[in-house]
Order: sequence, then C-alpha cells, then structure tokens
Amino acid sequence: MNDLERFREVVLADEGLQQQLRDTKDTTSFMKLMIHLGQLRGYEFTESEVEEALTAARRTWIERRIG
Amino acid sequence: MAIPKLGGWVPLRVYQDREPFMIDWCYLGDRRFVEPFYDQTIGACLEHPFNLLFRQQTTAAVLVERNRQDPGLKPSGFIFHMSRSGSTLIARMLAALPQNIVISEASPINSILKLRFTSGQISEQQNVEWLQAMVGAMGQPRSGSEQHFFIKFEAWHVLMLHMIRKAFPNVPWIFTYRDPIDVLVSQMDHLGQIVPSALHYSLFGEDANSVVSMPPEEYSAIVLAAICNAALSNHQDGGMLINYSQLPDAVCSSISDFFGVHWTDEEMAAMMNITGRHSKTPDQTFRNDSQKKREKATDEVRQAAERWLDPMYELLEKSRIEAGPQH
Repeated sequence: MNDLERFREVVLADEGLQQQLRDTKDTTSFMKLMIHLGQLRGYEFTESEVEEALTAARRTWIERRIG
Repeated sequence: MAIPKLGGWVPLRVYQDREPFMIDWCYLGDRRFVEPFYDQTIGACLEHPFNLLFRQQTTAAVLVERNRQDPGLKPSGFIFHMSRSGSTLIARMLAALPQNIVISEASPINSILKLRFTSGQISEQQNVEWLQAMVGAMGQPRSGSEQHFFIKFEAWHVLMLHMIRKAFPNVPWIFTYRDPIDVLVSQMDHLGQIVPSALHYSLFGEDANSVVSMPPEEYSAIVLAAICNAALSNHQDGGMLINYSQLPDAVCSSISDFFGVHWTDEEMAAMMNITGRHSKTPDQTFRNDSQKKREKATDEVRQAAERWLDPMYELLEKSRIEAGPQH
C-alpha cells in the first residue's frame, strides 16, 4: 500500500477531512488540497498519482455502466 | 461489529469478490434522487473528484447490522411495470416533492435480487434479509424533510414478487401495463433490457437453445407475458393494476390513495408539472406516441403481440375493472 492509498483510508475514517475535500469541486484545487492535507499528516504523494487514481476510478465507473 | 459512519452515503454497487458480497458506498449528502434513474444520480455525484476517489466499502454483514440499528423510512409503495408503460413518469412525479424519496431501478437492488442466480447456496430467508437491508440503506433520510419512500423496480423484478413480499409484506404495490403493440415497438427500439443475455431465460420458462433461435419480437413478447402473468397472479395480495391510459391523473388520485399518501393542491400541481416533459429524457417535451408506435409495428410485432400478449392484456384489464372504480 502506498502513501496515497494509506491517506485515502485515513480520510474515509475522518469526517472532518471528508468535509474539507467535498467542499472542493474543482479537480485541480482538489488535487492540491489532497497533497496539502496528506503532507500535514506525513503522507507523501504527487499530483500525478492523484490524477492517475481519479482517471482509474472514472474508467472503472464508465466500464461498469457500459458492461 | 464496527460500522463506519454512513450518514449521507448510499450504496453504489454490489460486488462479489468476497463472500457473500461487498458494497461500495457513494457520498450523496442531502442531494435528492431526482434524475429518472438511480444510476444517473450516482453518475452525477461521481463528477465530484471526492466521490471518484473515496468510497466506503462494507461487507454484507455491516449492511444488515446498519439496517438493524437504523432501518430508515418504511417504504410507502412499490412500483412494478411491464416496461415502457408509464412507471418512470409515476416515479418522476413522486420525486417532484421534496418529502418523497424515490428510488428508481437501483442497480444494487437488482444485484441483491439476482444473487440467487449468480451465487449458489443462498437461502431465500438470507436473500430476504439482504433485500430488507439494502432497501433500508436507500430509505435513509438525508435532508430531514423526507416523509415517504417509494421504490420503482425493474420490469423483471415482479417475477421475484414472492421474495419482495416476504421482505415487505405490508407495502402496497402497483403494476403498470400498456397496449401490447406500444410496448413491443418500444422494446424493439430499445433492445437491451429483455434480450437473452440480460436476463436469465429460465425465469421465463425457456431454455438456452430455444432462446437463441427465437426472433427478438417473440422472445420479448414471451418475457413481457411472464412479467404480466406474475402481476396478474399476485395482484390480490396487496397489489393494484394500473393501465397506462390512467396516467398521469391516477398518480394524484387512486395511486396515492392506495399508497396511503395525500398531497396538497400545490403539491399535486408540482407533480403534474412534470408530465409535460419526457419521463426518461426530461430535457425533451413529452408527446403521446401511441399512434406513431402502432404505425411503426411490423407484422412480426403484431403477430407476437397477438399470440403472447393480447390475452394477458385482456385479463389484466378484466381484473383491473373488476377490482372497482378506485382501481
């Protein structure tokens, strides 16, 4: 499990973090906020890692709708 | 059992990489289900990067325990249909009011109802408990103003009525039907729901070989006849039959009375306001297309309708009329 995945688990258990991230709809701002909040808690990941995770999630959803 | 905080989260999908199944949850907050179908609302939510990246994942046991602790609103009414017969219009009219939760053809419910076909060794009682829990998850108030909860099922789900009634024995249900040629012509235009690969042929008393060699008009007619027959056979057990021709007026009158819900004049006006738009594609104006459908019907459609569906339609009409003026 990499730092991004670990941070995602932290967020899923923390309603305060969830609310901060939900308040940011713009994807670029969202990615920056993810990195910032992750860093504050000692998790290091890059914008491209977040972008890849978003792309993968989007692809999965589209494939599921088609399939 | 530790249950994650699921306030505002709704089931996104059911999947079976761990027995008996897992559930992905999507955060909806207080957003209402106003799109014509459940997956469209979920799809709109997934445009938010948070929802793409963050999904709660739980086991079936968590779903059941959550329902035990917090069962949500009791369903006020269920909507079944033969497909292409006005059920989406009914759902959208009900969804026009903020006090109504309206769940329309939710894929997680479909997954639960299909479990006994996709997994072995599942007892009906277990399936009933999971269905209750899934419905409970969808009937959670999320804005605080919700009072009523309606579910529109997929067309084939009426074949699972015995199980649905076991899960919810006191919830009134309606079944909508329409002139067979109108429905069959629509089915030929939208093949997908009732093609052999989408539904298990054994549900309709057919075997794989005969299904593959059957013309689509005949297969669709057989499936639709089985669906109508299930409603016809069970409608005296808490059901009401609704002909498409009774819509939309029946939504504000006999259907609402049957479901035990009542609306103010303003609320009825808000519901009727929906009827000017096409139910499945609300950005388009609604036009009654029955005449156009009949002109479009091929000989194959007419023959399939006459052989398989016309007798069923007549029986549905007879039962509806015999049930009395309120029906």
